[in-house]
Amino acid sequence: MQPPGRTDTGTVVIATLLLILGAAALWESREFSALGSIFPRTIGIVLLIACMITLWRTLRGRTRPSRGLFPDGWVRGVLLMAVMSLWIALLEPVGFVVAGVVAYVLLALITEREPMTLWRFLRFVLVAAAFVIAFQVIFVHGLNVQLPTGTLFVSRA
Amino acid sequence: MDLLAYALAALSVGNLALALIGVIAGTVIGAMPGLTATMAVAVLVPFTFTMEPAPALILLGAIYTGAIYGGAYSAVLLNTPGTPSAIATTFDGYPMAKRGDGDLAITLACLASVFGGLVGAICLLLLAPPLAEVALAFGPVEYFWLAILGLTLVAALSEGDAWKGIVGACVGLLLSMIGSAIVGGDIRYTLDTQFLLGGIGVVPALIGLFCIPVLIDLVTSREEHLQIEGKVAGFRLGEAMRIALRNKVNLVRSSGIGTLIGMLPGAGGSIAALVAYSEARRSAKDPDSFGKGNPAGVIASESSNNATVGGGFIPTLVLGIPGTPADAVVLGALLVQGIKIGPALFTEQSSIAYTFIIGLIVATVLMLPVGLVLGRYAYGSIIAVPKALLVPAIAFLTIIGSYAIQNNVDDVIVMFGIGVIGWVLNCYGFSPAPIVLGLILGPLAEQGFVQAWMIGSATDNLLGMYFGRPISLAIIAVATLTLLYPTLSRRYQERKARRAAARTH
Repeated sequence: MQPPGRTDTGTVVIATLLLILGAAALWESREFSALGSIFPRTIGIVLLIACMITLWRTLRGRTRPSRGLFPDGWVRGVLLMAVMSLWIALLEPVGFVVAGVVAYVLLALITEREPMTLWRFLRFVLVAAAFVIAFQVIFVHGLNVQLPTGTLFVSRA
Repeated sequence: MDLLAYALAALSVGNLALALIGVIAGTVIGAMPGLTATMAVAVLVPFTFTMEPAPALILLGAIYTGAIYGGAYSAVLLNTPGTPSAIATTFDGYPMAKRGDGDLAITLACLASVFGGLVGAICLLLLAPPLAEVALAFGPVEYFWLAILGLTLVAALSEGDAWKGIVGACVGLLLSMIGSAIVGGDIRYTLDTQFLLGGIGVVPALIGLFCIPVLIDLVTSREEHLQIEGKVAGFRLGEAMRIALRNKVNLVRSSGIGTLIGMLPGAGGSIAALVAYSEARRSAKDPDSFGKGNPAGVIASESSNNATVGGGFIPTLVLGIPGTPADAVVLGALLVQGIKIGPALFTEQSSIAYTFIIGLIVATVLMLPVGLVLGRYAYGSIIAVPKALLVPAIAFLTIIGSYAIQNNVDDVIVMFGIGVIGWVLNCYGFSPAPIVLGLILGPLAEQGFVQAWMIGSATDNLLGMYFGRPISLAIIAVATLTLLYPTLSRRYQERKARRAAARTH
């Protein structure tokens, strides 16, 4: 239960957003056929009710306090999400190997809490290259999965 | 005596070697998030085309059973199910690993998988034709109630707030409706984009929901990945055997559930594991300890998902209806081999059928030493790798695993997007497990519900359709019991305590 006088604002915001999602799902279901709308309507209504009850319980302080975003600091978490987004965006343009090695090293640097030395950095690069290339070989030659080779460096005739 | 001859054929050096190779390959592939058991079988099917039918089937069966077990490794050590069948293994396996019992969880998963796999395979050997009839008795409405039974697990997975669990399950159910409707073909919730037309894949969503929150927590937290006190204790086989023996009823019940659900076309290992987990929790004396590292949860999940291997082969071999997606791939391989599927398989081509089934039993037994050794190696590796190298490795596996599903970056985007949303929701008490539950059970529930609605409306017997069939009533009874049992049991204990207190005064 929450301490008296404190409202879990984050939970209220999330529950409100999900309430809007439920309402939008219900609104959208007007355009479906009779068969296709039975289930979305049922689930939309249940979501609305469950969100309203969650909101009411949170505002009355009857829910356990949530831990919130980034209780241990936000910088590394945000950097991780940024690097992963960049990794996904670069998969096709620069290819699986280049994107993989660069992202691997960046994520290792973000996670590492000890002071950075040249040897440590070189170790990250070597491990990243070995790991990514090993998986490239296994997936492409062993499992027949075609990984992106990169379009940026391909010369256009 | 025929069975003895088939057993001798299955135990030939060549077949034993194939079973061993299959189990190792399957376990390794299954351990990688994103690479499902179906994919493991599909990738290796072409290698069997030039082989004799029985050895080919033994190899495929061994790969399949190994992959289902392999999913437990990443479920326990990384909180990411290697295959969808291992979802329920994460609930207690990862908390066990976090408190330093990862080796015990892996060994328990191995023992439970072998036991469940043997139960499924023995049912296939002895009871295939009559059990196939049971599978045919399941109509749309029974599937609907089965999905509802699975959804009752939401109460257990919502970490102390059932309403937040229901919200999460509804979000998962809505996600499962994106794309083309199963019945009617409506295009729903695609925001007029091509991207969402194919719907949200279960595997990328699963990887994202379970893995991205772990990654973010790992980089932001100063703590090490897994708690280890002293040296790694080894297999902890004796301890695991004692726990498994204490959970013998759970083992037998979960294996039975796995075999039965494996027989139902379209249901599969993930639903079997969720239902078995739900039942294990309901019947436990300490249901509140589930989700916090109770070994009984790992036993229920792993025994039931491996039992679906043998169970799924029952309708595949007897009726030609695949019980699970991996069975569909094996069915294709059987047709390529020129094997006639149906009851006649067990009479006219009995040598192939029985050699395969006994080969499957042998492969399941081989999983014990292979699983223990590989499990110890996997656990040792995860502990030895520094966090700075582990985090990018897990991130890499999420990317390659979701890309490999369809060789498509869209799946990677879905994985990451849903993962970040799941992490935000998790931070505010909306646990990702009910979302996954809704996503997996949504199509099964909707298809069953709408088809039953159509049949009920056409026969002017809507109520009778939903509530008048014996199997449906049995499932409804179990679902009701699952929901109400914890409350009723608590009230009974409270009343008993009050009476005892009144007597002493």
